[in-house]
Amino acid sequence: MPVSMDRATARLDLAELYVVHRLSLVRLATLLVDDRATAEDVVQDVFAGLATRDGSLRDPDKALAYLRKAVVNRSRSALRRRRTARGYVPPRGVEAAGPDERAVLAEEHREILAALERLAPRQREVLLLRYWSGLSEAEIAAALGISRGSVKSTAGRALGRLEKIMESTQT
Amino acid sequence: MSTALENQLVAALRARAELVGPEDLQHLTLPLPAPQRWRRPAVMALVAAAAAVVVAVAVPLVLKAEQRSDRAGPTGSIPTPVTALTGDVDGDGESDRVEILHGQLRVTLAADPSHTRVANLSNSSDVGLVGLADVGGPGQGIVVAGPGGRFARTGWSVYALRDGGLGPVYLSASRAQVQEPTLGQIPGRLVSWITTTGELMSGLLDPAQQGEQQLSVTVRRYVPLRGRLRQERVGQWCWDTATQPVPAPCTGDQVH
Repeated sequence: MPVSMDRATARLDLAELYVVHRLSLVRLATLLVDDRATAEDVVQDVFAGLATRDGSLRDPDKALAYLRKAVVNRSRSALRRRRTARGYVPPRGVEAAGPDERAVLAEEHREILAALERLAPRQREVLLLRYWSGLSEAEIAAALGISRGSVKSTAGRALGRLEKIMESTQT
Repeated sequence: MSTALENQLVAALRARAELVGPEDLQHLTLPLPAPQRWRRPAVMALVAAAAAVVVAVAVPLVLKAEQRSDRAGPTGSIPTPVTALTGDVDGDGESDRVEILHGQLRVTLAADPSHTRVANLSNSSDVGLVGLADVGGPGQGIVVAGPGGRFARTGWSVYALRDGGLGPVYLSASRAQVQEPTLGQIPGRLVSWITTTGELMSGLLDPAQQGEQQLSVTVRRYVPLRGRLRQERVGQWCWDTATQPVPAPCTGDQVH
């Protein structure tokens, strides 16, 4: 029964993906939505979506790239829902993290993370995928569904703007 | 770009991410697939009833409609070109300003408002903006309607930001080889083309099929609407890259 064997293999791969990559994906989602509970729900929903498809992917080797892309998309949706629910763009920043978490972060980290939150969503996503996930331009392009050239130009502009924000807050 | 800033960013992101540890995660197991709505008994009964009605009454009508939609003809909507519009031209997520002024196409980026990118339009009289469309370049392409404002094969052109400037997007394939021009193709990812009826189409290729000859393409069309281009899903088309210049509705012997 080759079909059922393939499905069984896919399920096993999905379980392995869950064990191996869940934490890093939750961390990525946390950086995107800045709320651990929402981040965890985002990742859980992504795996649930994949499980609904019997864990099937056209190319299992690209499963992690698919998961990253799904996490970015669902995080974006979560932020959109949050803004809609509140009726305004909340002053997220690191203040959205719990008080214990805030206390742990060094002042220099808090400053640059707050500056990061002032970037456009696409700019923030590109920087997170590049400087935290360590993805190449091609991988970021695949995760965000944009071209490599756009990744490069967005990253350049995002860093420039980040630098300006940092300078303005330090003066 | 400042390496110090990049290092600072890496350290801050790592510090923030590491605040989430394995012990913090609430969900411990792989989620079970959610039951699909259409499998619930009540929904199944409704579906069965609806199917019976369709079979008894509407099948001939549906078949005729499908035959017509396979041809993907024009939507019948003639665009109304405008002289200015806003949209994300450079792909940074922010809205940029695009305008036609004195025979020039001018783009002012939100990220760099002090520097307006300019391109001289080859046929500057009576032209207008149709909208923005992803034609495979670094950002979005700016679709310009030609004289008379008609969105027709001979009357359109596309400009895009490249290398810091603004310029036309040229055909990526030889005109002699294609019956319908292809724009800014990204191999393995995106192909856009104008049909003989003047519709701008875009097809998303499955990266897993890269290098293959027979491709399955998710096709959308851009419908002009008050200075913007609205995407409409057309469906899954087939593309034999060896024999077909652009994707087309699958024939009986082609499979997705």
